[in-house]
Amino acid sequence: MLNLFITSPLDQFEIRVLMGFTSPLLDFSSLNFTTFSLYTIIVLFTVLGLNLLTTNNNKIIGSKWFVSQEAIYDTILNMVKGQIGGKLWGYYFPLVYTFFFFIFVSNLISMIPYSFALSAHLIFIVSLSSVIWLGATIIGLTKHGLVFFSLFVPGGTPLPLVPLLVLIELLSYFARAISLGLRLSSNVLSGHLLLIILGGLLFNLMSMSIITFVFGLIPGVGLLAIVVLEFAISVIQAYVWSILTSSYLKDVLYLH
Amino acid sequence: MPQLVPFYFLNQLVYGFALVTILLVLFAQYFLPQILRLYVSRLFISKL
Amino acid sequence: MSLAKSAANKLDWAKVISSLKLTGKTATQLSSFKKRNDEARRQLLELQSQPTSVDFSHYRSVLKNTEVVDKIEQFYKSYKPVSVDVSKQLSTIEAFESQAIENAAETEKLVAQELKDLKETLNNIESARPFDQLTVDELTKARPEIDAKVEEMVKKGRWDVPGYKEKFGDLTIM
Repeated sequence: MLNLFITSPLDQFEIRVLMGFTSPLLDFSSLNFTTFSLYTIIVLFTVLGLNLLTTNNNKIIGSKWFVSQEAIYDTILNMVKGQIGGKLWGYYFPLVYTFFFFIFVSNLISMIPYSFALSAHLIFIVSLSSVIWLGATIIGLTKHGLVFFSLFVPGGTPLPLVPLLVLIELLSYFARAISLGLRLSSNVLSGHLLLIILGGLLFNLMSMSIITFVFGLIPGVGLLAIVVLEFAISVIQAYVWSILTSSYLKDVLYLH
Repeated sequence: MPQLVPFYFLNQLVYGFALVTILLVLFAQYFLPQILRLYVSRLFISKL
Repeated sequence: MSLAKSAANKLDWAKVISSLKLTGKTATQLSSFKKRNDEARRQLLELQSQPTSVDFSHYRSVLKNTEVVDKIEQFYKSYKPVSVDVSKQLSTIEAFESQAIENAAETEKLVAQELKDLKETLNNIESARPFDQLTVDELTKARPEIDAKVEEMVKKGRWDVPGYKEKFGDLTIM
């Protein structure tokens, strides 16, 4: 039987208040316990569990679970060292590691059917990327003073081209604030929409009769491939976010 | 899009940034030094 | 001087050699020194036993040329044994001795410390457990410098351990 009403594929991103706080004097709606809050706590407990329960009781030889932690540590370490380099990279390693782990875990949790995608929430993710951008800019200004603006003039530019190039560079620099977050959010958002639309279509097709059920197995394989692709995107987007954060930090720390 | 309901903006930001801050403190203070300590110990014991 | 002499007479060489348990170069040096000491003592005894008075009247009655005898007698009477002032050398020797004793005490302290360390290491080895049962906490309890090093590395932002990758491999994925 077909659904009599069509549910929007965007319903999966809807936030609901699970536990509200009201007060006649102050507005506590920002502290409401919502779906979003629930998933932040799930992410927190997943991270805690991954780090506390896999240590093999603190033995020198780690457990098999701990290999994943070591692999992530080595990967992010290599990436930050390669991207930022110099003497200062170590101070930013925990920051980049935190972003990677947070996006990695929240993306993978969102791949569980009927769950909720934290990183598809544009407002939060774009705010996060803007904060990173703002922090990087402040680091650059305090570290280099006015010399920081030499970042907008690439080396070896002919003098007549300088105003134009500065304009373009400035624009691209400001665009970073939005583009970093938008890249992640839109990837996750489009992936989840694609999955739910294709999955809904396939469900309707396969639930019609036995023949369509057997026939529907063929696009089912394609859907499975898309699910695998979405898992890959989840991981790759976390990696891309970290690598871009490191490269922005490198720009403001060493100015090209 | 349901993500763009202004009523939840502040709510998202409060919980989201709280989570990121807590994670940053946890990683920088406890989990990453623990992994580093494990690495140093392994290297130390292999040199004995 | 008499003090030095009495000390030299009192010295029991056999006891010195046996109690110090010296070997090799030092022992041969000591025995050669003892030989020199014995020789000197023997010569001293010999000289002491010889008569020192000369009967000049006898020579004068025997020899015709009494002038020579007179001369010799005069020379003999004017001769006085040269007394050597050895107090300075003795004080140097004393200073050297105190220095040597100090050095020896220091060496003894060092040796004792080393022995203690060795004993501790032996204890560690005896109480050591198989590799795969050892925890990081136990290791850092035995060697607190690991924790200090980690704290220093974290403070300085050095998150990679030099030499780790070469020994245990790199788990970098991308």
